[in-house]
Amino acid sequence: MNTTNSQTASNLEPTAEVVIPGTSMPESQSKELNQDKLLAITDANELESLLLNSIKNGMFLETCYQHYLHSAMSSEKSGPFENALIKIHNEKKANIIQEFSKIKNPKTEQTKYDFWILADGFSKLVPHLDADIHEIVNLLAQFDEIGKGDLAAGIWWNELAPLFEEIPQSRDEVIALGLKEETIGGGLCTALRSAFSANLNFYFPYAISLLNQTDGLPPHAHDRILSACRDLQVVSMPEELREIYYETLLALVHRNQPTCSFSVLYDCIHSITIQKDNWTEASKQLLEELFQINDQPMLWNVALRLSLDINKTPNEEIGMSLKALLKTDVENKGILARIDYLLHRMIDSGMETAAIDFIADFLCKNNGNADMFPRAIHALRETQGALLSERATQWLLSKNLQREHIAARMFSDDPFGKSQIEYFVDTTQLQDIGPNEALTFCAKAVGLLFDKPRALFGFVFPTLDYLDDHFKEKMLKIIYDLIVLIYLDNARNWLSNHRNKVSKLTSEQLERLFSEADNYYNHFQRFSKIPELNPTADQLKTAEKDAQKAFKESFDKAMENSILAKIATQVVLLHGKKSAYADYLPGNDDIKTADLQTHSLTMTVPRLPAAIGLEFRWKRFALTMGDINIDNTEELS
Amino acid sequence: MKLIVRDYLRTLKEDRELDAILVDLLSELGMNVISRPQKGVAQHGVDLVAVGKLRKEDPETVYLVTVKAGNINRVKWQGDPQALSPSLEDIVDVYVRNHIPKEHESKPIVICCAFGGEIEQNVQESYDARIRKYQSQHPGIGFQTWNGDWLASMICDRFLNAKLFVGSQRKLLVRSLATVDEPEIALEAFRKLVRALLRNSELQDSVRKWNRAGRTVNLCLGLLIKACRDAGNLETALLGAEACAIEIWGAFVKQGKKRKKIDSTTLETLSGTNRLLKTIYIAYLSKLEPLTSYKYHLSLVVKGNSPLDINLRLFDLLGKVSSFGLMMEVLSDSAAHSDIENKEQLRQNFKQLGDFLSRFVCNAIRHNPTLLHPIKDDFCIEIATTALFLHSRQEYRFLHWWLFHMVDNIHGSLKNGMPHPCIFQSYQKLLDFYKDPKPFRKTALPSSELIPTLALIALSFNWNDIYERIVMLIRQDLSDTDFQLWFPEQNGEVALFMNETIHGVQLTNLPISNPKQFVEEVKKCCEKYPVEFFCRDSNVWLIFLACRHYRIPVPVHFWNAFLSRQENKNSVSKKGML
Repeated sequence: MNTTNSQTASNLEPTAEVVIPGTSMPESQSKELNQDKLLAITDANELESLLLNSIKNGMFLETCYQHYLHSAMSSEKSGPFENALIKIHNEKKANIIQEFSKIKNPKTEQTKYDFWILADGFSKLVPHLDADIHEIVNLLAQFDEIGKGDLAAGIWWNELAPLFEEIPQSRDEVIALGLKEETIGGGLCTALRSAFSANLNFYFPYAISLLNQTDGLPPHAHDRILSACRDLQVVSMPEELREIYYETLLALVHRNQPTCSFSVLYDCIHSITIQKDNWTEASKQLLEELFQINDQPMLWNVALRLSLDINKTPNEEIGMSLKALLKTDVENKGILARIDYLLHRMIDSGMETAAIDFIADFLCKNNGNADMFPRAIHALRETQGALLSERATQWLLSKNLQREHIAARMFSDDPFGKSQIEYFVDTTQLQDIGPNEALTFCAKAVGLLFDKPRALFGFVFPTLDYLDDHFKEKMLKIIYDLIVLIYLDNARNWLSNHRNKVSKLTSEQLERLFSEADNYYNHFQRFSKIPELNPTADQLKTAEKDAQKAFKESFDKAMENSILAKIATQVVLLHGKKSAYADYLPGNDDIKTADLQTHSLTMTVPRLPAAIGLEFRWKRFALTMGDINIDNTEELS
Repeated sequence: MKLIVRDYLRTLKEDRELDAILVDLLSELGMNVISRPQKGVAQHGVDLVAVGKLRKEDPETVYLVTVKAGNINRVKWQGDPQALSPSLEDIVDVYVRNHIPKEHESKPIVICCAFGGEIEQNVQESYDARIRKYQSQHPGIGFQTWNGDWLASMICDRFLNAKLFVGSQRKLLVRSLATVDEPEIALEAFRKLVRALLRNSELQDSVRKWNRAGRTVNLCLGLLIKACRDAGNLETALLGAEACAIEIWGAFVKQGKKRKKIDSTTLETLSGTNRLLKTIYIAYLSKLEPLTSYKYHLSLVVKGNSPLDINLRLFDLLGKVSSFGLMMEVLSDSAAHSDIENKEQLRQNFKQLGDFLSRFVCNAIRHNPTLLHPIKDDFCIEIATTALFLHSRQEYRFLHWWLFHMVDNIHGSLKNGMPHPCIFQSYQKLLDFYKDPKPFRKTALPSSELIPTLALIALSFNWNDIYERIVMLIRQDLSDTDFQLWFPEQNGEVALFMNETIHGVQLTNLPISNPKQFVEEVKKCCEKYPVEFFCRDSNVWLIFLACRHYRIPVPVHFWNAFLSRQENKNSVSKKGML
């Protein structure tokens, strides 16, 4: 893309040979003929004379083109030239509108001028021309027709907005014409916007009535009308108008034969929903209804845009409503796909934090949609595994669900795989269960999450507050081994960062546990190294190779899904703890440094590669269905 | 080589180390050692008495040797009653006058001061003056100084000379000593050396050559132990000592069957190896024992990359401790039935050692959960050895707990797709299996010796709860596995100890689920393939050692005795196990 642009830029040098689209004459040749002469004239009379001569010679359009081209390239104002054109027309020395109507379609005929440049130039003249409104509208319709399908065509109609204000009938004329002819779509939209602005109470019901009208309108009339409605400040509407508007949109959504494109319709809905103070039950309902519609990929875009806008202008209410929309369709597989789509699009757009927040909040607060949870968790894990545990834990602690059937289904699909975590977090209900069950869940958590310390601590530590003294003692005993052996530093960090999530008593108990663990390790340090128990050199070599292979595989996989890799433009080699860079801005000699953590991934390295045999015991906790009798799993004392 | 030997001699203790080497050396020099070191007996300064001649031209002489460890400093010269100066005085004043055997009274007497190091400078003058004094007072008595340098020269000349210790063997010894930091390389070189020395066809017809080879092996082992101690890694020394004990026994069995009588030198050589093995075992296990008292400490010191390493290393350790434990138990039993004078003291020593070892085993298992979960099927060797040791220590409650949880874990891991015992030997494959056992579901345990061994142990002690659990796990998760047991063939002893050929009989298709039929089959096979080994009674521990060393299952016959006992309800003494 950049390369193409730079080539184009270089070709715009005056000496370069380039063929302007729609012209048959090379630019340099054209300049040789007129440019020098044209540029030399600054006197209004001379300009007028030159223009009248060009009309006589049939070279009017070419002359105008040369002028506009020169003006565009040199950044000189084209005021004197335009004044000359207006003067000629208004003094009726020549009919400029007629002359411009001779413009040819560049798609079908070769010309020595560029259609777009001329049309754009003319649109600027329109408000100043003393002419019959029909004549102007017809010419603009002609331009509209030629430039059909190009968004740039719409800009001409915007130029007419001042005209609509000064001459109200011009607006009505455009509306009437637009409702008859498809070619004047942009004009219809602009005229309607102007009309809404002038008299909403009159024109808006009129527009609504047009939207309710299914016959007698050109094919895209509804799209134009909705485009005009899109920017309305719904909040300032009278309530009755607002109600009518929602109902109309709803009717359009549910219409069997769509009379408008979904993109415009959803744009319209989107424009309503993102208006912060404009959220009502009706609009929520509207969105809910919209989200019921399947098989419309545009819906996903709306959801995406909504979520992005939510992030830009945080609005919990909207977020909640969107989540409410999502939850309404438990059996709808499309919704699940949309969540994935939405999430990945957000992440692709560099909005990973927003995506995480969105899904996590959704998980945290959603009270009814169980099917989406594993799906969303799965998507999350694939993209941002590190943040999953924290969010999932939040969700877990705030949820209030019992869905054994879902767990059973997941187990039947994947009895020992990833779904276990989902199963686990999906079936606990700590607030309402007894201490023995809580203990069981804690034990299961140890079994399921022992290699995911953040998730584990995030769950187990706060859960301790739900246990009575007896069970708490047992649980502390279980997690002591885990902390002592593997994750002492991580556990300590977790507690210092999340002290508010556990009670003071539990916090003190955990501190005592950490202190015991410190003593344990201090004691262990007293023993010298025992080379006799080292694996053989061959084994170490094999294990090292194996670890390298595994690391490479996981790294490749991580890079495949890495947001960082997608957005990073610079790779900082990991030779130190920090990276440094200079800004090279004037007056700024500072070298800035950044911790590598800020632009690299961290991983939790346990004190041991694994739990030296305890994992068997822990895993069996996880795999035991029903309550676990911790006493039966005690080691021999 | 001389420097290595001299350095080695300097580190030897007086008792049972330096004096043992001197006995070997004097024997090798053709002398007749008529008095050996004894404890609790007044020796009047003399540790060894040998009659013979150092050089051909010398007359038959009585050598009275007083032995001191390391360098002779002020303390060792005159610091205590056991010092060199009082010893010399005792020899001159008491021994020479009263204790020279009558048949040798006419022969010249030479008093030898033997020590592993040298005389320190501040003592040298006193020593020289004292010797001059004695020479002037007793012109008929000669005096010789056998310092470390002299002894090293003699040892190199007699044991490690180019004729007896060929270049390739010398290279192997040097390599094994130089690479003790890398146990596999050192051990490989050392094994080759031991085999080269002992598997020589010339040994079969000559007792003298066999004895010399045995003594050389012991010397090399001593050098290896010294090198390992210096390097702070006793692994090579321990495995080397085990290899020596097994190989020497193998060589002895090969030749010994032709002998009508076993001479004392041979026995001395065999016991010398065992002594070294015991020494290194104690040093090795004493280093590790403090770790066993604390939860996970043993596991934590394994510096591997995977929990698999912990499992492999700790089961290996368990096998070592139990082998040594059984060695001590058997020797203790043997001492109790012997006629030696200080047998009570010996029995007490063995008991203490046995207590130490059983505490080691129980603590290691209790504090390291990986020992509840064997990852290799051939850990049946370690498990059987440990079970026999725990039985000998009457640790039945603990043994039951261990086996019960082990069976429970195996069942649980099989059921839940977690790593379970497998037959893989390659470390890479084990690693792959440990990480993800699912792809190996069908190939990991097509046949097993571990499960029948566990079943056999359970039946031997009449532990039905364990046996029923085994049957359940077989029915539920091991229906396609073939259960097997190994029986040594008749006359397979040499093959076992020298690991020469594939030997023994593999009994397949064992009907474990049917206890009666299972026991009957085992008993029938025990009768058909009896262990008629030369290795029995006080040497039976060598079988466990060889089984562990060469990864051969422990013969079932040991359990057969218990099975019979269960039937007869009669106790069977340990001696009657075979």
